[in-house]
Amino acid sequence: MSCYARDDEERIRMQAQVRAWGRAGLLDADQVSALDTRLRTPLRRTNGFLRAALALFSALIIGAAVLLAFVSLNISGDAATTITLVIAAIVCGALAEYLIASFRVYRYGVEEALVVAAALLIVIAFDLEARALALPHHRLLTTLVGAASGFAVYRRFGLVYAAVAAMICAAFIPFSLEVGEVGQRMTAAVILGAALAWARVLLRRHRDDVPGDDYEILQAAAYAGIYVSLNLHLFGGIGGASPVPVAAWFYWTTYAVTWLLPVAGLTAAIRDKDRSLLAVTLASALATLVTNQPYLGWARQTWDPILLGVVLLAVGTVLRRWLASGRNGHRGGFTADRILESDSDVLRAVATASAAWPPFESQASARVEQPSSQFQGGRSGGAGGGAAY
Amino acid sequence: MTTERYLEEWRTAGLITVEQYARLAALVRRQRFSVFLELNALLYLGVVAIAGGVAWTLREHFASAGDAAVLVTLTSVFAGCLWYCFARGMPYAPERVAAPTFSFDYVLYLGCLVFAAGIAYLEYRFHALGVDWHYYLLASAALYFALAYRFDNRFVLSLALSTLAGWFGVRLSASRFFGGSMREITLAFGIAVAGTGLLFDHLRIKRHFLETYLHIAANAVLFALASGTLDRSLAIWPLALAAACAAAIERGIHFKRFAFVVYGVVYGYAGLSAEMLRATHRETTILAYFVISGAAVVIGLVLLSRRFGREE
Repeated sequence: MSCYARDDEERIRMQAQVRAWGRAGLLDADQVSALDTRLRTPLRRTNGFLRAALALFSALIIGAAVLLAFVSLNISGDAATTITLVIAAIVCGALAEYLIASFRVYRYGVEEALVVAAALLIVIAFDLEARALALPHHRLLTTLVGAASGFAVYRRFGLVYAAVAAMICAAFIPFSLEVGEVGQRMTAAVILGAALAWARVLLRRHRDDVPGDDYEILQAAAYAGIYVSLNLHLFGGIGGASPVPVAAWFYWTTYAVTWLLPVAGLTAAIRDKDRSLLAVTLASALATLVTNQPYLGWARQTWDPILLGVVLLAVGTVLRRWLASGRNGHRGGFTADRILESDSDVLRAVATASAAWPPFESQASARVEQPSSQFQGGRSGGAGGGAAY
Repeated sequence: MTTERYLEEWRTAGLITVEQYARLAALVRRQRFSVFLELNALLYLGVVAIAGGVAWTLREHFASAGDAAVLVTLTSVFAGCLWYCFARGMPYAPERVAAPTFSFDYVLYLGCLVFAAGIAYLEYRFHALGVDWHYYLLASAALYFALAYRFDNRFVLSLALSTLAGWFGVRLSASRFFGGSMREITLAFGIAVAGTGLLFDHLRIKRHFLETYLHIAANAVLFALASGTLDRSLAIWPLALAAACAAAIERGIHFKRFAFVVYGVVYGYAGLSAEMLRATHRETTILAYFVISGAAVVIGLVLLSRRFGREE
């Protein structure tokens, strides 16, 4: 089904690991070079930044070309539009296949943009036609087609983000049905639960194998989806909006679930030493702390973030010390020490990106426009903590 | 074939030693699993949450808390953080210096954020510098720069750069030379940041900071020039943009820092497209332009990638 040979993908995965081990000093330069040569594949890849730029410009070309076809051929009407979109999708898919078969490109940006565009064009074409034909439950059918397209792209091209998109589409299916808030959220959670179980079964089979990394991501995405669909205050907790009123039993069940899910997720992540699941369960645990007060109907206090921050600092510091005090600096296989250089790369990127936050913009404008106003909003960072005084 | 099988094969072939096999196999089997990044994320989020909470609390309760209580609290936290850093910090060195403790960088970052809140509170409440209040920004930026270099802290360096950007925005918007135009100010900021970074690099002081300077400078300069090109207020803007993009691409390729290549291509394309399409209003021409020019960029990037940016 996949257009790439399993052996090639295994070699690419190993090549990445060998380079990471080389950067970490676990292998010397000569060894890295020798192993790199042994692992070489006929597939052509590119640097991550160039891949992103290639995807961006390919998407631009596809979008402009499709619109150009509509404008220059004066295409209008439902049937003509649908047919044009389907033809465009077929052309995109065929081009991607051609590029892969002829030039052996792998995660090169261009073929990714083409297959993603093909899937999107199919979904748009289906939605337009379903609306034109006034099909019952056309939104449900569109999300189904979206899920199927995303999954097909994943199976054929191995793009894990297409599988995540498919999962999101599948989770939206119940929101097209008139089953009420409770029914919608529960059904979405059940669908994502099935996806989680599926990913977990496959992960056990392929943990140290090529699709294993994908299944880790899919499992984490499904977990995150379940949490998002069952935390009634998640978006209200951030934006301040109240959730839609639901039955008391459901409300309190979801409250319990928002506490139980991170516990269960963390337990599984720690047991399996699963980094993706660990990241999303930590994020969900934070979200549970943030949404606890709205759930209980308690007023938010301005010092809540301070308490949360102190808790995070304490947990981080205590955990670090506890791990470091273990034999050889680790406990149960966990260590707080950096092993791979890529961890430092992430920290460097976060530190550099933090400069992009404009700490004085609101402050400066507030000074000019409202010189004697009260404190105007705030965020961390910059002289003034981002607050406009 | 699993990773372990590969390792076994390499050990048998003598490509890796038995010790290396044992270490790598332990990693692959997850007998050794680093949570370095996760713990850092907890500390970073903790610091950001505390700083955000401080700002929110000051905003809501500054009237009832009393100036003395607020200032004593903030000063104490700042002083405590500084004391910790000076007491635990390693001696200054122009090279990279590892943090002495895991939370060291975050303690300093927290101190700087709390200092920022305190300074802003002081100015809001007492207006000590009046219309010259922007000097608070400059002084804060200077302090952050000094601390970033003293303790080798990239988070504080970024804070210094964003604070300096704030000073440029406030100070130069009142300047006649810049006429209040944010474009020129952004350009001046970018050039100043790049110049500072290159100067320190030339002086061999914390050379590993250079990339942070250059990322910020490149975005500021290219954004300002692209914005000038789109606006077409001066004929020099497109030429300057072309020169800056060419430099970003060339330097990016030379040093294998492909983010700069992408900056050059994206900003350059935006500016060039604005120039090319300025007099065009026909939809088909515009769309055809995007198809043809986009294809040209893709071909160019593919050639570039095959020549310089290959993953293997």
